[in-house]
Amino acid sequence: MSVKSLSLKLAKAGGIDQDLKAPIGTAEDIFNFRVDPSRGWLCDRGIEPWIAPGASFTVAEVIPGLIDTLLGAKVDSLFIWTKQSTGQTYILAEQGGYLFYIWGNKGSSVASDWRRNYIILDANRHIPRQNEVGTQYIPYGNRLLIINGVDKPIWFYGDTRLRDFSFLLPTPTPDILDIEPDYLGGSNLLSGTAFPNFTTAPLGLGDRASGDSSFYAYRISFITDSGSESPLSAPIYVNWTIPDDTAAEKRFGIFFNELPIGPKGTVARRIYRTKNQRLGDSQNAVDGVFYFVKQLNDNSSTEFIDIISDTSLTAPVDTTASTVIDTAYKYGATWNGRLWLGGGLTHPTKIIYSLSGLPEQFSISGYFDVGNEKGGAITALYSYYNNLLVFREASIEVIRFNNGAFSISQVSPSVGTRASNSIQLIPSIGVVFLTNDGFYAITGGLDGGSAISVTKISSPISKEVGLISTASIAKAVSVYSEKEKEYWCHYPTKGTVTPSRGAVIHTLDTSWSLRHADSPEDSYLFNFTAMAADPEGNIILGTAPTWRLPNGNSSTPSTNTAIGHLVGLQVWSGASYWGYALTAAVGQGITYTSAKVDLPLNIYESGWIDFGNNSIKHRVFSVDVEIMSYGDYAIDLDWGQDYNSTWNSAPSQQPAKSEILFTTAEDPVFGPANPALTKVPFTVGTSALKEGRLIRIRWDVQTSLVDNFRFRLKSDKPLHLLSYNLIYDSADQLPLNQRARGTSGQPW
Amino acid sequence: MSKVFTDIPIHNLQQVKPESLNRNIDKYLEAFNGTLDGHNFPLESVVTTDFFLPRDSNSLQDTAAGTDVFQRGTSYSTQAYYQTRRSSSFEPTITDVWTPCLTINLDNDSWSKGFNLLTEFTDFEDFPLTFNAIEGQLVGCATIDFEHGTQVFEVVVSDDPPLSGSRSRGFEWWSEWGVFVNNVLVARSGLIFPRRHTVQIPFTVPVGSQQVTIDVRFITVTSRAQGSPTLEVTSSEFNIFSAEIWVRNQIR
Amino acid sequence: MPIVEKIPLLPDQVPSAAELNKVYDDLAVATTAIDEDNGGSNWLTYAHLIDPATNEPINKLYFAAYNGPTAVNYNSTVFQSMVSNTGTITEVNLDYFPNETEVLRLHMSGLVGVPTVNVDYDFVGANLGKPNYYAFRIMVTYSDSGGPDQNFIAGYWGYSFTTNGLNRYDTTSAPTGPSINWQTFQASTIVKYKGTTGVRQYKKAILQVAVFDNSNTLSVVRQSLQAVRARK
Repeated sequence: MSVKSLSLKLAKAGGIDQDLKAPIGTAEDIFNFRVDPSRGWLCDRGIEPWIAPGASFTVAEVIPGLIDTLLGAKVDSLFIWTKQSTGQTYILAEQGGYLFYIWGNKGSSVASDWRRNYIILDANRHIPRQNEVGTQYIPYGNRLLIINGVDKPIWFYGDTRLRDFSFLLPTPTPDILDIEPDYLGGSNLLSGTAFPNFTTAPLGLGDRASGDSSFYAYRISFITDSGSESPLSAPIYVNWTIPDDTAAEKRFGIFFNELPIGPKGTVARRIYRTKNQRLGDSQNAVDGVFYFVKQLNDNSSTEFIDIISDTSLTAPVDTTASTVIDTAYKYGATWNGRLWLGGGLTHPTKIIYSLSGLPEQFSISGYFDVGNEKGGAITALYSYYNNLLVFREASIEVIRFNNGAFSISQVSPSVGTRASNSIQLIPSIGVVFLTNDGFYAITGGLDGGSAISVTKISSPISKEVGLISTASIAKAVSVYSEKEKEYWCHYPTKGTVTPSRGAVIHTLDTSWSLRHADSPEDSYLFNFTAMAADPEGNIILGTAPTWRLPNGNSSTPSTNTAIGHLVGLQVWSGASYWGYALTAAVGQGITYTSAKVDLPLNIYESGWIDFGNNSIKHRVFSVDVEIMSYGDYAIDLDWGQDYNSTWNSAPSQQPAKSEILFTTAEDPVFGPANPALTKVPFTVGTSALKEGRLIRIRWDVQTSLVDNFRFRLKSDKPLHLLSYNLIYDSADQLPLNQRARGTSGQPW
Repeated sequence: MSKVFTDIPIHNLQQVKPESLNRNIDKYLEAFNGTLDGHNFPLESVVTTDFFLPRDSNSLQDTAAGTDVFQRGTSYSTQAYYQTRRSSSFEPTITDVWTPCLTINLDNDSWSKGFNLLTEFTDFEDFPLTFNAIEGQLVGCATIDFEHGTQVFEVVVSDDPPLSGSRSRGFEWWSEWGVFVNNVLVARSGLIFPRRHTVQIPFTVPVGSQQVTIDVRFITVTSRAQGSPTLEVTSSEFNIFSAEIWVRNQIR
Repeated sequence: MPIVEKIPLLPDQVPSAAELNKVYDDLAVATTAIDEDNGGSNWLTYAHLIDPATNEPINKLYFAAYNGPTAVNYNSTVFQSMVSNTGTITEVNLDYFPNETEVLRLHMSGLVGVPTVNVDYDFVGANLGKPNYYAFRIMVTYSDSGGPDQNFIAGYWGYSFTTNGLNRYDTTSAPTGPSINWQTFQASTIVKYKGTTGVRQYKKAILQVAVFDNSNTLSVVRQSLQAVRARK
């Protein structure tokens, strides 16, 4: 006799769709799952620390407060930089005003060497407020530019070498001695010099005849090791008149008494000069054009003698080719072989760009100002194929390079973003970013007739989007991992400033899921304040550590008995635990003992299912799911009915083939030989390795006659869900009409 | 590949699948078998004994005793040194530092008004430093001890009263040395006015893995005396006491 | 060669203890002998090298200088060691045993002040313009197998007091030409050790100076000597 029932058989377990009329088969909430490349939803991720703490480690306090910062402060920014044409990978992070990178193996277990993992590059940096995005990192060739709009920009070479970036101060003017031709006739000592002097051309400067006046102006510039040239210094002048004395009828060499030394990174200095401008009533136009005289390939000489005559000067200089920049730029990108900088408090709508191949040289005319168009301040610059996207608070512009010139135009007059760290390029989708009302994607190009379009892609998670804090949206961080095949954006919820929930796009089937704790008390386990992907695609998480005393009050890493979670950089991996909890014991130095933290719950929750017709009643008998076998541990199913907030539990099931579960014929598992737990522990030399089976397991549920039904699967251990099937029956019973009288009040 | 992390979890009572025994250990083996990087090796742990000892260079043979030009080469694991030298104090028969090993008569000998190759002159034919560089940077110095002094003549100083005396001539004669790497001028000394002088010209050039030839060349000027057609000697000699180039090839 | 191999474990296979343990046993041995086969390219950075403040693995620098401002006079025709105004010799203590084929690099530089020139030409003898010269040299002292100290000269470099050349046309009159004051002097060279490792110990490198004619006095305001030992 067959069971008289209907079955709602679904081809696959869908992703999240929170629309009111979402298709059956989609989920209301999926958290902490991923899409397995061979199909289905799999929750087998955990967190392990980037630097394993071992059973315990001891630190000696070297700088007061450093432990509280490195073990307790939130990570404000994180960037993984692979230095071009080397094998070095730098993991740069900022905590509590320190900018540092970490090395994996410090090679010493001595307590006072505890901070050898951290190579500190800068300290006392500005800590971003809750509406600030924080430090941006812009790679250019084999250098990295680190800017935050407040501190001086850092040009990082690798190892511990860094220097200031570009030219923030005007170039100093050289000091030149005056020329006193009178000395040659034996006059009194004044301030200048009459040596060296020459009689015959081509050596020396100036006109020789008595009464001739000569007038020159000099400017210098510095050349850095990136090839960039500084702005020219202010001009300095030297002039003289030949007296009526044949002894003084000479041409002179100009003596630089003090040639300024350039800042760190200067490899050469250039000297420019006008030709003889000749004051007085004599011939030749005054053109004021500066010509290149000499390049000194050093940054140490302080004296120089110029004896090169005007006829040897042939290369005029463009005085607008380099200008001083300021430190207030907050955002940047490398595009078209140039470095682009934009935004910042003092010029929020200005973008400047460097010369091609010369990342530190910005010409006077190399800028855009987007302030004429409505759209707010600039919030990011992003290189996208052959365009540079300019994100603003409420619009998006694009800069293109055509026929040797740059042009800027607007692609979206209404959609913009303040979540600069949420912007990622995702293959097959485009540039995804978070705005106040959801996630948008920019797709397409501008060549060959295609068009750039900006479309909203977060409709399936509209309820989740409603939880995102718009005041602190700048704190949203994101990462795209090619290994995990997902884009994950983590953001703070309304009323909080620390990101604790995340939304994930799985690129294998463009579905959405979420990442968060099951209950608000545990949301501290998801406080990820920075994210980046390393070259292998592992997702590295910067966290806001939580230190508490055993009684639950908040504490610091240097307090005795304090317990810290999510301390240090963490990695999203196949770990069977959720990071370590460190317990501090203060004595001679501080000893931290570590203990693994249990995994949080992973839940697949279906939407409300009305079986296609919510005008009749249904009775649900069972939920059976198609999963991959995983062993003898328990998976729970809860179910609910008719929009009731109560969850009812069905008895646990194991993800193993039901007929052979707990028999000696079942697939071998890890574990002790304990018949109370399993009859088939894996025995070396006897047990065969079995691949996972595709199995169906069933939970029986006892609903009454209901309009809507939902269920959720819960597990902290791996669960690989492919599809589900509901066995139900429908009764031909229509819902009651409402007993309401329009005029006489409600019935008792 | 830098640090490796757990690929899949293993829990108690979990089914033992092939991936349970393969996936995690495979990842660690892939890292161990040839892709360990700076994050895996301990900081401040590489000491002197971890490097290869120096050895004779393969691309520059040390010259034997008694040759006109002295050359040496040494290879290390991070750098290589090469040297060429001809000095009156050493090669081939020692005279002393006061005696030049090359004298060029600017009135009678063949020389060029542009840069002069030393190989054109007696016993300097093998002077250029030729070796196989490895990609990286060349940093070196050319040190040349030379003299181009002023000439001294008996001249008439005044007619009335008649007075003659010795005067130096040629204060404006300058010389300049340049360092050439594969025939490209990479460093020059600037003008050096008459004297005996040891000029040191440091130079640095990036280099690929290629054959490199480094040599030094000089420019000099002189002038004929005006007036007297009977004088045969008007220039002063250009003397070289020693010339040396050493270079360090820093391997990238 | 510490590459550890592992056979993939396949479905339906019954792995034995030996098969399962092999990779871990091999790793236990191989991890104690990690060499270049295990490392990726370009893994070494300066952070991995031993702290240069205590031990310089690649090159080691030795340095000695006299920075003036008081000038020191020299007029010996035999090379004598250069000193500070208080008599401290400008020398560096090397005190190491070079390896066979190892290179030692030597640099010297300084500033001549106002020398006193009386003779710049030899009118009587055969040495013609040589009295115009002064010269520097770097002497390296060493001992072989613990024996007595010996020395060799790494290089000689000369300068002139006046602008006049070695051979002059006028060979009868009194000297002419002002002295060249405030002249810098500088030179560098390298020395390769061709003997056996452990036999020779370099002791010192010393900067020395001499004049050709002792009626001229050289006045030196400052000098410096550097030695760089190229180790690896």
